[in-house]
Amino acid sequence: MRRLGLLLAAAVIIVSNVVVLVGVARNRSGGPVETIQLTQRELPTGFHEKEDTGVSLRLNWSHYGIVYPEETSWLDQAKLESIGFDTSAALRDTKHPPLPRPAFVVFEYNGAAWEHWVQKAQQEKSLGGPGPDTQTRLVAIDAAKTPEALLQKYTDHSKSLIVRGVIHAFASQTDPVTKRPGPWRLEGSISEVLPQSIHVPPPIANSFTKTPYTVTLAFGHRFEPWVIGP
Amino acid sequence: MAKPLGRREAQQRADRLRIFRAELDELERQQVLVLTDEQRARLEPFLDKSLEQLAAQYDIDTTESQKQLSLGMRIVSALGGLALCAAVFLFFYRFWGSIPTAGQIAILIATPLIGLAAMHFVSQRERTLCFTGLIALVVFASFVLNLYVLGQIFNIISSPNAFLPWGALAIALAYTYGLRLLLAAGLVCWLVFVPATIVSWTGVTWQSFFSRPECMLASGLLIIAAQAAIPHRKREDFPGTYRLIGLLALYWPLLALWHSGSNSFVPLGATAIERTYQVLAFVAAALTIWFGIRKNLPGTMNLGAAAFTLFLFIKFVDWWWDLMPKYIFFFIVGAIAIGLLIAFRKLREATA
Repeated sequence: MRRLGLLLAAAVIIVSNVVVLVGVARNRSGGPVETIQLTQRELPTGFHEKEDTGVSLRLNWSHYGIVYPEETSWLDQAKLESIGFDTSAALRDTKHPPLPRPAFVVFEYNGAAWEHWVQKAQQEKSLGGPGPDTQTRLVAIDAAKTPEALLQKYTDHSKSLIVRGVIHAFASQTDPVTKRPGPWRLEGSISEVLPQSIHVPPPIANSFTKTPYTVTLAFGHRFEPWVIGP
Repeated sequence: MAKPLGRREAQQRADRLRIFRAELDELERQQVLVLTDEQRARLEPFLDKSLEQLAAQYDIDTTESQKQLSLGMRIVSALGGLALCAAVFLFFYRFWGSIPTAGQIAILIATPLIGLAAMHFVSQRERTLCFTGLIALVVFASFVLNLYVLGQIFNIISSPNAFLPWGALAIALAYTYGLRLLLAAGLVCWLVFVPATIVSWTGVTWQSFFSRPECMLASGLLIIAAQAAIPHRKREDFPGTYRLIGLLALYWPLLALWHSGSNSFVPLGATAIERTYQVLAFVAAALTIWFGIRKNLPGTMNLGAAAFTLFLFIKFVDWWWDLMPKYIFFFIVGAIAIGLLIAFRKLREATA
């Protein structure tokens, strides 16, 4: 009886690991779906404690929407509906925001959206903290429930990056441009990108201990990334 | 001697024999019942032999001090297991960066498997299973670490799926060696897996399962039903763990929906949903008390009584907190507690 129980336990361990590793192989089979080269501005090293010897990077994207809500105006009611939010129900009960939904998010790298923001910030002299030379150039420009349409629409993978993310929706009465109260409307925001940290394998981890550095990042069929090299 | 069905029954019989011997000594001291030398010569060896047989066959405690020591050993075993789990985690944390990826994977998979072999080796050399239980906790923690870190190495998008094998391993080890702590750990893992999977089917993130308490409610009912459906002849103490986890998984969502009807799947107004779940919470707690009394399960009855009291207290706060001075509020709560005590006493007399 005990031997059977132990064999069952061992089988659970082995089968689970096989399932995980087969999933990893499937993600990476046939080469990456997208490859992009970023810098320490977009992929800074993650926080790690004194005894932690592993190295990880985290995808740093712009949160300019907080300063300029019109920058995220593409994430409007129609877009949120296409992602799966029940917008009419959310507007009926504005006190309780709908639950966050997973989606695929497109980030433009060092493109028109970034240039637009820099110009605007310089005009208004609202560029607080570090200057534009140190800030991330990844700006969210689109999102969808599934990645197929996005892959067809954004074909230059050196300039755009499709990742998995989580989208929050909330009701607001403040107009994003005039900043005045108006009718209830639904707004969206990207709360996180997945995975939250990107592991760097030991042989190339030393390349990211000093700034500046570049990172070549690949994404597989399941949109799970891996670091190819510096 | 009739053969007991399991360890718990053997322990109960040993306790009865011990109490019988003590009571007989007292009766003799008071000259109420004095055995003849011949009767005593037959009784004493019988009692000694019975206790020895029970101890040898079921590894039970035959004295009060043994019982206390066993409890202490179980506590030390659990704490030691947790400390070893922390050691395993921090070891990986400290040396991780210097090990190549293939080595990392090999270590991650090998650690719980080596732990299983160590469990088997140790379990064959001890009867109390204290060290086996300790190693079982380490095996479970190693397996949790195994899948978690594998996910980190390959940047896998998080999902609730890992909770299924984690729970399966914990429950397999629990049933193999009779370890209640691992049974609880396994049930909690499945208690996350089922609601998180159901919630992810609705298109929201799986971590939102806390915001959809009805999924947890269904899982709690499943666990309670499982303890009734699965025969536990050899593991008599397991149904109690099922009931504890199942009832807590039932009460928490009832309490959550009590205050937040908008989190329900039911397409009704929030107030109507909240009132319905308030009634259901009291009904569930009352049914638990009734079931505990009927089946002679003091733990279940106490849990039901605690839940009923908590629900009642929350209701009183909802009704009266803003309406009256605080001293009157607490005076009324105290008076109602006394009323409940009288009611329970009458119930106890009725069921005696």
